[in-house]
Amino acid sequence: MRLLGRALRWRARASVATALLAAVTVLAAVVGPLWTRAGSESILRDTLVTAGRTQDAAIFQSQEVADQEGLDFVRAGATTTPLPHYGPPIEGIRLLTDTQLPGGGTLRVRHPLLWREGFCVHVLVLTGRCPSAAGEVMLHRITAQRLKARLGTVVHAAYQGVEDRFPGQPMQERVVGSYVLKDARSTYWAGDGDTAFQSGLGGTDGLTDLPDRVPATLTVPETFAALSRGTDGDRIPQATVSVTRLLDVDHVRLADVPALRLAVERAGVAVVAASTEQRALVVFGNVVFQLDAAEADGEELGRASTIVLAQLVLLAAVVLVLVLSASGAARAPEIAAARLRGLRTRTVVQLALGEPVVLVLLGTPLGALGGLLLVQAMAAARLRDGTPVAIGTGAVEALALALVALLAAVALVCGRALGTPVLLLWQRTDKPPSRFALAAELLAAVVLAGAGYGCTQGGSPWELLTPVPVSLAVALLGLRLLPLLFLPAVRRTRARRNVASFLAVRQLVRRREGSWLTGLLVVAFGLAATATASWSVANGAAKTRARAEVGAPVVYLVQPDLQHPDLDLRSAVRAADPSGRRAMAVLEYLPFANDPGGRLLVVDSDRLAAVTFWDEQVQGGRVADVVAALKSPSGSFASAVVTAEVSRDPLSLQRSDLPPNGAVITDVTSLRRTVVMRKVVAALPRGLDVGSMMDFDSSPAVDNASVAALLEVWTTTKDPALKSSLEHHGIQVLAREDASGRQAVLSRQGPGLAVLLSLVAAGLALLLAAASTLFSVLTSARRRGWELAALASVGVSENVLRRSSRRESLLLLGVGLAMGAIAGVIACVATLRSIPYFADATSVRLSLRPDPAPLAVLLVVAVGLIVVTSGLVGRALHRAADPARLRELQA
Amino acid sequence: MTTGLEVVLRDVTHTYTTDEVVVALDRADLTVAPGGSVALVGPSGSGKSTVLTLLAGLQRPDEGEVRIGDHVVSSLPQRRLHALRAETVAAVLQVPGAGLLPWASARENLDLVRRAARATREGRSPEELLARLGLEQVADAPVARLSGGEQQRVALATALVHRPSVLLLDEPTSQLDARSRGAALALLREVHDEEHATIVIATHDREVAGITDDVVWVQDGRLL
Repeated sequence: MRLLGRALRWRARASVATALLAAVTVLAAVVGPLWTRAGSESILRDTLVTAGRTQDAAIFQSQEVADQEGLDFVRAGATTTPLPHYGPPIEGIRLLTDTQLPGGGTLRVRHPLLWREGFCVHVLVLTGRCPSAAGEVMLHRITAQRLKARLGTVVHAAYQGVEDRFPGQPMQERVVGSYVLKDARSTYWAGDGDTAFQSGLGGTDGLTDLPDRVPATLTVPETFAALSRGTDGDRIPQATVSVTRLLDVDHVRLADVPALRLAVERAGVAVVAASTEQRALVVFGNVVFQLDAAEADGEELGRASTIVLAQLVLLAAVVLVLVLSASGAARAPEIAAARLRGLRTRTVVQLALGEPVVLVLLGTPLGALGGLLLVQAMAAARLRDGTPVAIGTGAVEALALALVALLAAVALVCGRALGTPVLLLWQRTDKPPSRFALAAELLAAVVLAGAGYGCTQGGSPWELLTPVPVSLAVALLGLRLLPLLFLPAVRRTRARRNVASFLAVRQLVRRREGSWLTGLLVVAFGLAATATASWSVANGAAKTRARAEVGAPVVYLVQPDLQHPDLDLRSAVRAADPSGRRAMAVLEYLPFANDPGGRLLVVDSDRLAAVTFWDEQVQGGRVADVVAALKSPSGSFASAVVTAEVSRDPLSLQRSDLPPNGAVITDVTSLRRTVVMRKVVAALPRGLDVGSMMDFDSSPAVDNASVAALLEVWTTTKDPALKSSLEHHGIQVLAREDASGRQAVLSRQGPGLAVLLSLVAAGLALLLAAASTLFSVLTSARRRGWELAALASVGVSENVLRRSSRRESLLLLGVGLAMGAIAGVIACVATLRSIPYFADATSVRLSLRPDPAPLAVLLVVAVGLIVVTSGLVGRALHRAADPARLRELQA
Repeated sequence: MTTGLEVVLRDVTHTYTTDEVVVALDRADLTVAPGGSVALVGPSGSGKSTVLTLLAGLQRPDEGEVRIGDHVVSSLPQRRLHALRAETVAAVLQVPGAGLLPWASARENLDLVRRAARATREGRSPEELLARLGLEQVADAPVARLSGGEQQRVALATALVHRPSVLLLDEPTSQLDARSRGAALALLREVHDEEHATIVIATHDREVAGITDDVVWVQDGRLL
């Protein structure tokens, strides 16, 4: 052990380099499984959160008599099977109702009459109180305004479908309060949030003479009890009785998924078992679908990570084998000496294997720890907040595999030295490559180029494999051409007696170890260039998509506050932001069912250009033209900008009303408005490829308090001062959506995480290339130094030697960089269009052109790395070239 | 007490193939009696070192037989060759550092060789050897840091430390000053005269050749 320690210290820098390279190999092996697991955790939670309450919750429903027996039946079905990670049951009753004031003429509204366990804490009571006794109801603000009902008003409610079978129809209900929801997106309203609080005009097609739809009226279970018996005394199921179990998304981990899936499936089976011919209990919820989607995305990430990291592992392994070979070559005379002296086989094997084995064993925990820290840093930077980085079995297996592979490589390389005749171990010259080897390399280059092409055609995630074969092909061809290219330079520099350049160029042409270093750099830089370009495109795509889908940097979902029930949103926003550049009022009308008109945005067009993200390539038009179109007069009609999809399918044309210019569509999102299409664009903000846009001034009939519009304020900033100003002007903020958050979610999808990993892997590959260059020089420094020292001893000046060493390194690395750039460009052209950037499809037009800035940064980093490495190499060689050390170096 | 072994080369031919085939030894015959000594002299490239490396079992002849005592070196398996070098045969090569661990000290190199010797034969004292060869002051420095002459003396000490029966020396004093050479030759004479080790020396040095019983001229791969 003492001698082993001495040997390790003797080659301290080379030992450190070997240990670090072993560490990088292990790091490369463990990062994949660690990142895949962490990424999958993040994807799982993103998927569940993005899917929303209705998708994640388990909602048990039955068409029941709304009494205790009905509730008990549904509750029993919902709790028979344990559902881990689901919250306690929330009971609810819902009944579609028509309500009108007594003597109110034909004014009638349709809404769900709703009870939900504990609802009172989830609403803002505007007037009065929550109902507490049978027959008491609380109206939504919109309903109260529509009916002009006040506290104490008695309304008549008729239950849809079975009026004639119940006594006392229509029933009298007393209004005891009015409300708005605290948060329509709250998980509490799972299953009801999307439908129970919608409002709109008339029926679903906007043409039938049906009552307007208004948000739910809230009551207590006893109100429904009056309907538990029919006119014949029989029990008639008429209400939707439900029990909702909410998924605790924040605490679901990847490891919980199998149990969760099984439990949900068992719950489905239990529900079927609980149902009878008269009572059909059903369970709604798409969590299994969400789990499948998350699992599929996670598996895609796993495959992509494996492919990306396999390249790095391969690269690291190749480097390590080369390094071990170089290290073995450096130690070969020692092994020869040991064998010459007849040392015992065990001692010779210890001499041969001891150092590399110890270095590998030192590097392994270092690499594992480095991998863990790297993934933790990546997770903190990119994954969903709070995502754990756990060491799973995959990482342990990868670690074990890497260690075994490293030890096998050590045994292979050192075994070769042990089997080589002693005299050959002292030989210092390599045999020149045979013609067969040259032909084999040419063939390999062709095969690799073909493999690279095959990868681009292989679909996801094989495209990620493209850069390596392409870079290898370029490297193989380039390295064979290199001596030919530099041969004239050898002659020229010799003729001009330029000693420094001659030595540098001669060395480049002669040294074989330089070839593999250059090849390594070609692959590393090719990989880095492709990964940087892909990362840049992926970032750009996520940014473009997020901007297109959100519409503005920040979108607030708002409502008038209690003191301003009749708020004019546009005026309030204008007052809150007099600059006209930071905030814009928007009404977003959601389509009913499959309305081919899509969504309608009503915007304050004066502020559109300043506030909205408007990308001419995505939107397919200039914002100035859109503003002009929105403001152009169309007589009694509204001017609209519509998407191409809508323009192709105009609805219910009122031919007689055709204005002199522009096509006409009507019934935009059930507004019963005839509009003139002033401009057609590819897509509108908020990711609308099916929709239309008009100005507030063009839609005077729009009553933002009475129809199903989402009230929004789009802003350019999250500045709390602006939010305070909005609130000061009577605008209550319910929720916030921002483009940067959406971009982060998109970037956290499997493909984005794989691209990020490939960037990290490429960075590691570059470091690996630089480190192995240094290592090569360090291991050969004694021999090279002896050569240079010999030159120094015959009078070649110190400056010439220094310049020669530096120029040699610069040439070596510069050529690698140039060929790597060529390989990178080829790989980028081949892959950027086929790499998937998102887990789901998007209609947003994306630019696949990489941003030049990151590529410029890469170039600067690579050049910097080359300059630094060249400096270190030159210094090491120069230091070794001291003539006073000639006798030492001879050893 | 060391007992020398007979050293025999019989009809040995050996070639090296680089860009062209070079005949290093051509039907060479040599016999050194047990305890005898012989100096191989001749111009550079004549085949002297090849004779020594063949005798040490570092390479095998293309044709012919190489024998040390009862051991047919030319056909001995590697494992037995190791044992032979550990116990019976010691070689000092032309580049003395080549037979030494560069990062180990002279004392450690000697210890390693002593430990490698599998015979029960009592070895020489490393301290005594180092002192006789004037290496006490540098005994604990890594040999790579020593001068060529010092390395040559360490190599000689390493070869002698386990009292080999056969000593193969390739230019053993080429880098030594007069005083060191005198000490080295005195030691070799002692090994030859008192311990009766068989010695084969390749040399250009007449004084070195003078300590041997016989001188063989080597020319163009032939032993004359």
